[in-house]
Amino acid sequence: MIVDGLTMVGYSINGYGLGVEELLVSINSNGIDKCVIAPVQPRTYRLEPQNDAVAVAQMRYPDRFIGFCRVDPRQGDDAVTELRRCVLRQGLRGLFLHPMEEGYTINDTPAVQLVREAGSLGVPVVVAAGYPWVSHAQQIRFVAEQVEETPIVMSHGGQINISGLAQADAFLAMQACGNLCIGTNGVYRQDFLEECIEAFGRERVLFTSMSPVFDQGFELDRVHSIKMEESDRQFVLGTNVVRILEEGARSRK
Amino acid sequence: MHITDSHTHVDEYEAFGWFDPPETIIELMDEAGIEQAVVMTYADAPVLKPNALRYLHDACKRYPSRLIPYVRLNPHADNAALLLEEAILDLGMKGLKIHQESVTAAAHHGSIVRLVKKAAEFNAPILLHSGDEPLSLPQQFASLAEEAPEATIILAHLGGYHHTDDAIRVCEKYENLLVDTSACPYPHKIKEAIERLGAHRVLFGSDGPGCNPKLELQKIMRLGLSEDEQRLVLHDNIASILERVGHKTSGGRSR
Repeated sequence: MIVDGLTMVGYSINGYGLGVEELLVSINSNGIDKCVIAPVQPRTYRLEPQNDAVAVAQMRYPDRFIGFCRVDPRQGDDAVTELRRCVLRQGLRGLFLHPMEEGYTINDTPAVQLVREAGSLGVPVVVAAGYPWVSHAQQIRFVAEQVEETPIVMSHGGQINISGLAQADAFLAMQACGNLCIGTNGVYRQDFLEECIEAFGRERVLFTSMSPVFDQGFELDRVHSIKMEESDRQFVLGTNVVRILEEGARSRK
Repeated sequence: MHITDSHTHVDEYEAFGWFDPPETIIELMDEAGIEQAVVMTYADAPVLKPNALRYLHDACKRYPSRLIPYVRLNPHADNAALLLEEAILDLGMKGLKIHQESVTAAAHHGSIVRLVKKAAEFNAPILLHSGDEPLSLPQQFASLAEEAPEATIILAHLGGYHHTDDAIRVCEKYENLLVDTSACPYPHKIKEAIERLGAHRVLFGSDGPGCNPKLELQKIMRLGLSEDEQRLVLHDNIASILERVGHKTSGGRSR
């Protein structure tokens, strides 16, 4: 089973967009069974309707979509309330944070509180990671160390740097925190993914396309290009996402 | 179709933790069906790697029909121009690589401009890093392009993750700037670069072995290019650039 651990649906204020039906076409043509869907930052700046749209899409296509909500920690208690509403009432199964687009720092207190709340609700967190100043791997490590009960997935392999200069920080964060995983989208140097799998095991690297910012088909090619045992590849392609979600669900019971 | 990868590496460099002898890239080229590759070290001569020229020369001598060397230099070194001459005139190297983050200077820095102009005397292409880092921003190439209009300057990585639009914009303005596709994570931006700049100004590169050449080639194959465009991007552009190297245009040896 192939599960894409991060896509975004809706039309973003940042100029990209992907409709639910378009995404279905994409996953069908790429042989992807399911994918995590999270909202974009809309032109209205209001995330709540976007979360509701994700919930509707999940309800309509329960075998294909796993809905995550997106909230802005700068809204303080209202952000926590929205997270709880999305998980407990709308049935969404994870939290997506994008510090770069929303404009906050991942290790500021409100964001840490939100990640902690996600853990107590039994849902994982995906962070748009690797952005200098706001979601650098060592900033995420700071969060992960405080909130050990919450599984956190760092997109972009935890590092956005086309010289590879941030890889050591992502590697060290993974080494320090067992609750951190990395997503594969856009990762510079496939051998970084290979090193992480070798060092931390096949369970902590998972396929994320972060479509439509990245090309879903090409990002799947990226996973297939990793030099690894085929039996391990299945973990990266889908098993790991499913496991993280199931562990959260068990903790809720 | 003959395929030439215009951006790969050979080096065994402890400080970076990257150990890629020539056999590594050759194996990956074979896997991808790539006939030839431009190769350079990870570390700059002479500061980080005093024996870089010899290392690269020896590596390429083992695969003379497959590997095409570019010398990677620190332009701040007193003997940078001499090393460039030695690399091109004595060792038959075909181009110059500068990584601005590694040498702590932006593309418009005087020492880079001087070395780029020196390379241009031999019609040698200059491959510079481009990306999101503070010394590698595409708009920093504008001054260099103006000061060295005779130079063929290639922006590696098409501006990285968040400066692809800037890379295309600056190349639109300066005809002597080209881009390579290495590690660019956005196939649609490569397509856009070809549409806006022309296929004759976009070079296939992988940044292998770290970035898998087969994957990087798959990225190009996804673009739906015409056969002519593909031939230019995958081979003809870099081939015609390399054909001109070594024909000194002016001046004599520095020493």
